[in-house]
Amino acid sequence: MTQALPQGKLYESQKLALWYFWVALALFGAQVLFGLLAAWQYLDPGFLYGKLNFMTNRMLHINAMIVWLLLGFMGGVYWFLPLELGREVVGIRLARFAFFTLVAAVGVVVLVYLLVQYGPGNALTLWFITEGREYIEAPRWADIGIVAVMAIFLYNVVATVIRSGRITGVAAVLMFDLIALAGLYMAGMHYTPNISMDQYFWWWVVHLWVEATWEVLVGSIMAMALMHLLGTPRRIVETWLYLEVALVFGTGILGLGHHYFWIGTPEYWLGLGGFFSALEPIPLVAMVVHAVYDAGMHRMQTVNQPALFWAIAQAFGNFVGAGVWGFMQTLPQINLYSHGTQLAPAHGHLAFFGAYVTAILTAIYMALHQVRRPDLPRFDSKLWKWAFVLMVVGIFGMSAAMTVAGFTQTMVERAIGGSTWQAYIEAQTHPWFQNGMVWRFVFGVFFLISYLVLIWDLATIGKGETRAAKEVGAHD
Amino acid sequence: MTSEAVRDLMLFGMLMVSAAGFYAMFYALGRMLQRPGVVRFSYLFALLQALGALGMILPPYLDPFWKYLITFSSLVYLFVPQGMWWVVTTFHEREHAH
Repeated sequence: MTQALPQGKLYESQKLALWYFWVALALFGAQVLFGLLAAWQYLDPGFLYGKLNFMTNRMLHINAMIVWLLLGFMGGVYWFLPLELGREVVGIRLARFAFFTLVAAVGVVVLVYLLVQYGPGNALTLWFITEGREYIEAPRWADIGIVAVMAIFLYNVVATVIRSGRITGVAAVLMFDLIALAGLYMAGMHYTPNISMDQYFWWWVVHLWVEATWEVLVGSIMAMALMHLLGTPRRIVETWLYLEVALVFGTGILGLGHHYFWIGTPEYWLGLGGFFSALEPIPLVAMVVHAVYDAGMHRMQTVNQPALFWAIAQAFGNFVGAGVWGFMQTLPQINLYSHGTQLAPAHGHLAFFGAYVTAILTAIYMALHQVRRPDLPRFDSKLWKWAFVLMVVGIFGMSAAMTVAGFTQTMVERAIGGSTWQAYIEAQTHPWFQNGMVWRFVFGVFFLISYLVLIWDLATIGKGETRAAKEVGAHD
Repeated sequence: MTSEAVRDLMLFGMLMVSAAGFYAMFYALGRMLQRPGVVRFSYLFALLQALGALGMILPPYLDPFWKYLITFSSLVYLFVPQGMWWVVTTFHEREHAH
């Protein structure tokens, strides 16, 4: 039973999606701000020392990113799901409750991170201050909250599919992916005093979320987005989604092995991890071909220009960030020297931006089109182009600077110096490393400016448009 | 593994995969715009991709397993653009014919 709405009307789920998007964007700002503070502390280690240490800024920088991307994905699903299934999302009140709970929990965790920061190595710290595991430092109560919110999210999706009486390929992929998403997070809550085992399961969250379940989740959101943005037929979109799931899971799951090289796991992980990781860029190259085809078929013109450009940037960004920067350091022979250097954040910055930030911005621009001026045949502004270019230059600049610094560490500290303390100091004081850190900060400021331009554009796009839809269509 | 070996493997690896991406992009662009010159230009990147692979395979840095893997990847990259182009256009033609 479908409940299609007239143009200009929103489902309750879509209204909720907007809340998700705005909170996500605010946390995006927090990510940039704390990242800049941490970048400055590389240049001036005494800055805010004892008040807001590097470890806290870095933790907030990374945790803000994980949470805002997650919120953006959830917003994307809440936005597109009713359009996909032609009905309101089931359990919308529960979904709202989950949203406010999640936002309140994030607020409390951030305050604890800022005001308490750390504690003794006991259960109290683990439960209420920080779990201490890199990237997923949230205290245990927040971990449980995240799983509960993901369970509600999963219920919303599954119940809506069941109630709608139709199961599309995209919805099916989404449901199975969300089960994996919620389940895998629990692997990060497993405690063992054996550090190798601890790392083994910790990577299930960090790698399998990012390089498997998130990839598929974003693939599902982009599939729904492309049907509305480009009018791509469902059969094509779903075939591509199945192909992507096969390729991403085929290479991404055992690609996990590239994190198992040096944590005390058996030696066969060198071969397994290296083999699958080396194949990971292949589907990303294939996506480039499809992106060029789609862009060319529509002559870079569509109903929503910013969404189109961010969607195309997604295919290219995913390839460059995950494919090129990933492959460069994924073979164990190289990784022995490069892991843990600035090459890792260079890869991380480009890959997260290319694969995920672009996709969420695509969804947000599409949502704003429907909210502000669904009657306009083309949703456009001048400012988004500035935000787009500045942001791409900013992220590439930061990544290039970190690549130079990481290369210096790999060579001077590891390959030439043999990882001695003296070699560490030599690498840290090497002009290539130091200049890399300076340029990382400079491009970080650049990125902050682009973020502000982006926010201004998102806040204003479509609002000043007074021309009638017919007039815009006639001129264009 | 010497420091030169680490440097060479990293740089040739970067060249191999980035050239594979440019090859795919220019090949698809040439076919899209029906410009044979752009398609021919894309083959330059196919060559660079192969050179990147050779740069990893020919020196004695890697064991045979890794050399086979790089060779296999490089061969796949050579045919991904053509294969994907065929898949994409065939899909769309069939869909529009329905």
